[in-house]
Amino acid sequence: MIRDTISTKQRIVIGIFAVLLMLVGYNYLSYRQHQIEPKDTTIPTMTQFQEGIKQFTAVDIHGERWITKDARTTIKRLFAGLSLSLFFGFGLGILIGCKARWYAFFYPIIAFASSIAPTAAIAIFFVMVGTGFEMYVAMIIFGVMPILTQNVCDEVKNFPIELLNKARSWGATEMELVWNIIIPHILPRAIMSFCLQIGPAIVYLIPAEMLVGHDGFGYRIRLASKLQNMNIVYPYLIMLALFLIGFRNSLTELVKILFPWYSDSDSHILNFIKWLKSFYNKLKIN
Amino acid sequence: MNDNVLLKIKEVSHSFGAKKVLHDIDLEIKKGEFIALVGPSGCGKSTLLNAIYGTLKPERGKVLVKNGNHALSSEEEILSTNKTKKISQKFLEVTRPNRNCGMVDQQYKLFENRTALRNVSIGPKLDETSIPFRIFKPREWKKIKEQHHFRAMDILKKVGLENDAYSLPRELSGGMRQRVAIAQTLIMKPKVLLLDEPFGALDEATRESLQKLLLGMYAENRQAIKKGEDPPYTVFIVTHELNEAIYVANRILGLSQHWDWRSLGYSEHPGATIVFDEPAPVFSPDDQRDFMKFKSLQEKIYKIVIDKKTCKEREEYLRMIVELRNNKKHKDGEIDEESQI
Repeated sequence: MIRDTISTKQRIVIGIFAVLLMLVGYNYLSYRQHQIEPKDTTIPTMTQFQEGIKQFTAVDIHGERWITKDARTTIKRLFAGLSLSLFFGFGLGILIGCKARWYAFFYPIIAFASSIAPTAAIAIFFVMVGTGFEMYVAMIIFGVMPILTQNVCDEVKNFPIELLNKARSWGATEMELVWNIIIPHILPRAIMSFCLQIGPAIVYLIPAEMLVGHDGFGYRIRLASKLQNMNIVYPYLIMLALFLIGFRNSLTELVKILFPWYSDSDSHILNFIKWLKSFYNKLKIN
Repeated sequence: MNDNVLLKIKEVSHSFGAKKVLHDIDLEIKKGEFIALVGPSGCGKSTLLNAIYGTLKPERGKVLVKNGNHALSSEEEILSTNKTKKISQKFLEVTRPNRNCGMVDQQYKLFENRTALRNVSIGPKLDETSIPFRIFKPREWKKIKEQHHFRAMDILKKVGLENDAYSLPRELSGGMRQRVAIAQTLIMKPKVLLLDEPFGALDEATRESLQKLLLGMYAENRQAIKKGEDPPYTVFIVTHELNEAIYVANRILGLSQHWDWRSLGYSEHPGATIVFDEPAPVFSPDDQRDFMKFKSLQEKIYKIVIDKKTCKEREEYLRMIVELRNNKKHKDGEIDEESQI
């Protein structure tokens, strides 16, 4: 029946089963491929994966591990780009959402910018900011900020006018309307909108690193895939995916903790803390 | 001019595109009055209320409200273009929501991110403090905040929500949300309290208790007048329930589009206008609510205001109003001519 519900246990068991099925399917494919070509590295076996992991976790001649160096470089670029996008996107979104003249001025530019794929415009970034750290940050800002601005602007415009009028009738100044009324209301929505832009930011960053980078995840993936060392590429992609899932879930949890009024479900962390407390109390009683 | 007048609605007319909604509404609301505006559905009651509140600028005419600053002793009216006089003038033209009028609307929207208590205390916070004060004087702000919370709790007790003060709006029923919305407005003590069908979504018991709350406020007015003080509450309530209007108000206004506009020389329907304006019996909160007591008044209002059929009393009232206005204009015209001479 449509919209049937299942228990959490059932949901977890079915999810684990799906992942196991995927692993079994992969292993079967790998086995079949190695029957045809024993030295194949395009669908690595578990042993080949172990070798690949050893390679990028081993200390190199510079005293560093590939994984830590690549992660540090990529995360620095990602966080710089995302932080600036969030700061400017949020601020500009509030401004154009509140003021019709600023909206009329900025919106055509933002709408146009959001329609250009940053990866396609990478040559512009070469020319404007070179191929260093600034290029990656500029690409992320160019890709993320217009959409974040539009989303924040839409949230501000959708804010109930009745509540603004109420606040005005209480003597609120325009600044108070923004600071005390609008921002607290839209903040969790802006954070969730930002959450959705992390994936696209990685999509802009990694190909750029692949194209012109000398370090970072994208650079490593390019090098490894040139040699068809998929036992390095796949783990890197899995790490990227896990990072994205972890970052998004952390932000979602943060929103649930800071803004309990916004979310339909309770924070898992707070629920876990409550459960720990009740468990501890039960133990104390016993 | 009467010093007790709080609100003046001067020849207000409005239309939405080709549809004419309000025609020549001319009213004065005095301090301490509890006015109920009744009328058929869609006649423009909420439109008039929004014009008074300031969220709608009428096409013709203006709404004037008595300003808080009474520096001038004269009763000169403000000219809407004369901004420099605005601060010290006695009457302020309503062009946007302002501190003088508080509104409880039909949708009773609340701040979803605030508990019931904080929904009610935000009004005093915005009115009595500023952002720099809250940032640079945190200790003083904390004391004032506690006072606001006490006041908000008092008001919530008045509307019967002291046990739900820490609930979020999504945890409250429709009736409770409406009561929080009423508490939000009551705590601000506006000069004129505007209520747009405030009890529409409530169950009978809650409705009755809130009607008694309004009667209690009117009783406070009467006590204040006896002591020689200004009555603290002036209420303008829009309702489609005739019983409710007669029960809570001391003056009933009827707005209707069912009037004989042709006989007054109009070629097309100019919109709804005031066709009824009479006092209503006053009740105290302890009186038993017995709607049979005012059945005849209810029938009269229905006949004049709601019923589409031609009504002699309605047309007589309108002719009288038109005559009074023409006489007034004629007198003003004569005075102008004399002053020119």
